[in-house]
Amino acid sequence: MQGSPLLTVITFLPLLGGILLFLVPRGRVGVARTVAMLFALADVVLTAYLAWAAHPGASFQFQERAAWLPSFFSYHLGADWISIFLLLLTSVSFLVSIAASRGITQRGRAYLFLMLLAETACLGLFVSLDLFLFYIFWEVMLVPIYLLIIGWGGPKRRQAATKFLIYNLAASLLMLVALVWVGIQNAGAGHDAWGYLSLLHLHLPAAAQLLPFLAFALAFAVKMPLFPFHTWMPDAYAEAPAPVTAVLSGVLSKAGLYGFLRLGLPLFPAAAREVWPWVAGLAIIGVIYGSLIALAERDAKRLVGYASLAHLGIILLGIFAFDLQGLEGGVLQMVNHGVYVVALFLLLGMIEERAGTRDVTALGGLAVRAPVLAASFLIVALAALGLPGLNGFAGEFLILLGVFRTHLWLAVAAMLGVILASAYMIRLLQAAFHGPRAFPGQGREMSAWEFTLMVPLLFIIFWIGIVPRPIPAEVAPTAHHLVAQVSYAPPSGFPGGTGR
Amino acid sequence: MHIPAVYDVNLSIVSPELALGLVGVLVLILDLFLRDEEARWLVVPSIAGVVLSGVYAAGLWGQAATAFHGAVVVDPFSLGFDFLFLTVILLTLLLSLRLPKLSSGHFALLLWAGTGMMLLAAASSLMTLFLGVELLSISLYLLVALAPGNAAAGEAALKYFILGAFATGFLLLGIAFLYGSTGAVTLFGIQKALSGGALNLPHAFTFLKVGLALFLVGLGFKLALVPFQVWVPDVYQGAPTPITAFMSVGTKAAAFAALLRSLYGIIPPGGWIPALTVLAVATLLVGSLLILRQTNLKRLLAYSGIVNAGYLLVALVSFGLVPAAYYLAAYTFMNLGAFAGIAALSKDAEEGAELPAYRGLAYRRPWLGASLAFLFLSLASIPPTGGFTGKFLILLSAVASNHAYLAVILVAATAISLFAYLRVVVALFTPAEEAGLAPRPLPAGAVVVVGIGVLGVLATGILPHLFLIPISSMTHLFTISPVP
Repeated sequence: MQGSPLLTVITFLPLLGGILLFLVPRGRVGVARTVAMLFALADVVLTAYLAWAAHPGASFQFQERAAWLPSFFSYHLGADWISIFLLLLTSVSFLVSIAASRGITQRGRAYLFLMLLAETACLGLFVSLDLFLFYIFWEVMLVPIYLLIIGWGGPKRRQAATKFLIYNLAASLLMLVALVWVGIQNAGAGHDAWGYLSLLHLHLPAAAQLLPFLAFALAFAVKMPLFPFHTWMPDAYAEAPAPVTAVLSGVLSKAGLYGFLRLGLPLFPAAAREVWPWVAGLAIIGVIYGSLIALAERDAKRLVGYASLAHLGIILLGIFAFDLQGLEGGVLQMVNHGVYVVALFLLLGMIEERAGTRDVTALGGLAVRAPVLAASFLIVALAALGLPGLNGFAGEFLILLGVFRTHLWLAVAAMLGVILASAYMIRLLQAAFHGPRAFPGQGREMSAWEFTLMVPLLFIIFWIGIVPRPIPAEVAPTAHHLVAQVSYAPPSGFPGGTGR
Repeated sequence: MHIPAVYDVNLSIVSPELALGLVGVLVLILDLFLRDEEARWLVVPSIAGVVLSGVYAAGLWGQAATAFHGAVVVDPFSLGFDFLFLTVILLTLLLSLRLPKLSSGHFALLLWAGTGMMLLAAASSLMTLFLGVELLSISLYLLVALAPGNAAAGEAALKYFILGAFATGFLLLGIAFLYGSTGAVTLFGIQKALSGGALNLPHAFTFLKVGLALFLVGLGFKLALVPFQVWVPDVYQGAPTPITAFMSVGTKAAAFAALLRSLYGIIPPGGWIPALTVLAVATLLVGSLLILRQTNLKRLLAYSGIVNAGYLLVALVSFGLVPAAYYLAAYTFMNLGAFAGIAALSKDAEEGAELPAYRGLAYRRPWLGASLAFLFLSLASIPPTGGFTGKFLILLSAVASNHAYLAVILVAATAISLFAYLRVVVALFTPAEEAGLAPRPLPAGAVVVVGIGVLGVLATGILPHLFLIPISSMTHLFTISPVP
């Protein structure tokens, strides 16, 4: 083993905690949750330390490497600034979501174990510098989420979980074939065929990039999700318990975007450049379509799910603008979206707990009894619709700036999505908190615990809103690299591609 | 005593097979002196026989030689398979301990079936191959039937026997045709005849094709390839669980070894790759679709065996000898482990219950439930398990040999069959209203096998080099017939 094991500790600490949970006696769910939270909290501290100790630049830091199957794959971890910000997002999201799982009393240890396993898978994915390892984490991620939906979900959980799994697995198995192919092309003496850093020097012939890129892109698009591969999303979001929906939308969707950033663009630059009109087109359709459905949707969780589809479309647009600002904004917005969407789903969970329904037409008047809840929701919703001063604004602004400079009409279309966002977010806010009281009693205020959960998220929302600079600044060198890689790749001659 | 060289007798070459077979005879004789209740003690000499055979096999390691005029060969390939078979027999012996009534001959028959499997891996003549198939099959017919008071086992044995005898007929006829077209039964002789222009004779080429087709049908039956798989579910369900476990891994591996050696050895690839590709695609797709409907765990594993045979065929077609052997090792662990879990939970009368009976097992029996879930996740090829790493290697060989479409079909079959396995995992973790299966105390032998299965799956999953190094030394030295 070379290098300090910091990233290994960060990655596997939640899993260790999950296993230790089974030492807690069966009936003591509260104790088990405290133990789980302590491990998740330790991970937050460690990732914060990581961000503090990291130095600027585009390189992969904290690398550690152990031989595994020499000349095939190795256990190789490392983090650049994209990884570091996503690690922070992951550890905070999971800590808050686990802390918000007070409603889970049945089989509590199994639930917490699966949450922690999912956290390990997400963290590991963001620091893998080996494609084999990447794929392992990518797949392992699916199992706990599937079991969480099926074990603790709503009435239609079986259907939703199965759909989630079919979509994601089919796509990721195709990615496996492409991944195997890419490694075979990279086979040679002196390096691991699936090692990420050696793959960066592979420079596949442009004509050969298209098929593997599409296979990878499909897996990422399903995971995000990107229109039209999103149909598993509304059901899974609606049926999963609120904390699971929160991490599903807050963290797992980032895995798809991260895949584009880490693998899609650097390994297949020519293909990415040739295919970008299609990706951008789907992203824009997703933005408009998601916003319009969100305007009409009655189920609050589905509403936020469709809104999330639109927001993720804008982020992907920023990534595929191949522009420095667009990429920086994309990464910033990945973090932003994660934070406010986790907050949104957790707040929706609290509302559902009080009202017994998520139907926005049946809600109303909650603000009278629960002004703090209403205020929290207001802040988060405003952050989501991109109000200046809150975190959503800076990211969207940078993305639109990048897109605007390269493709004017795309920026205009994306702007439409931003405008629609105000409409559906305000509609949700009004329906839930204002107007006549729709349900008697029950509309109690946030408990101290529930408010405590929101504090870190609200703090991040304000902090990034006021001082957004650190994220794009730290990511800039990596973004430079990416833009250069894509811009100078020779054209592939793919029919229908336009190049730039 | 001096044996003239013309007989080419060299007993040391077949010493692992001989040791196992003779200990089988000894066990049968010992059985005469024991009362019925004491019969299970025969497991001790049986295990000793397995160990003895393993010692002989280890002593031969590194050699490459034939004997009996090219009828039997010893090379790292045959020895590597010998170790696999011996592991399977050992685990099956442990599993058998929980059978309510051990009929006399159970242990002896198991050892003889093992001898047959070892002969199959060592066969460098079609006659030896046939001997191996017969020794294995006849022992298995009896082992399936030897379940006193279990009508389903009798039915299963009869079905297996009738269809198996039929398939053996095909195999024998195929061998006859191959002999007719080339004038030889040893692999080396056939190879020489083919390269020496034997096919210029009238009809020889037709005979060769017919012979090869019949030969494939015969072995395809043993391997349970689609469309020769119809017997599998009923027989697997009816047979005593330890025997099912033995069949699902042992027979498959042995038939695969024989197929590998004879195909790679005698026929130019152009001749059999198209046929086997079709069989592989059919096996993968049909097997994975059929598995979806299964609710009985033993039937489910039977269909899983069919799909897994498809994976092996993909490796065979893409010349992935190492991946195939690796996958077989991983499959041995996960399949035997899963069967052991079923065996541990079965009540005396009913073997391998329906899925609902397994509900909530993870709460009543946390360790066993979690182990079973892990084994099924490996069958579903979720990393980091042996099922995944093995499949990764098979995919590797398929893509590297320009069979990317087979790789896509393979992952499609994986994706489809995954649901059957996940249903089991979900059932294990679904709380049950009434108490289902959970005998108390659990049979020790079966629990040990589950444990070995889990450890093996983990090891094949995350420590591939432990297995790849011996396996590649075994396949690099793969010889058909080193001595003319």
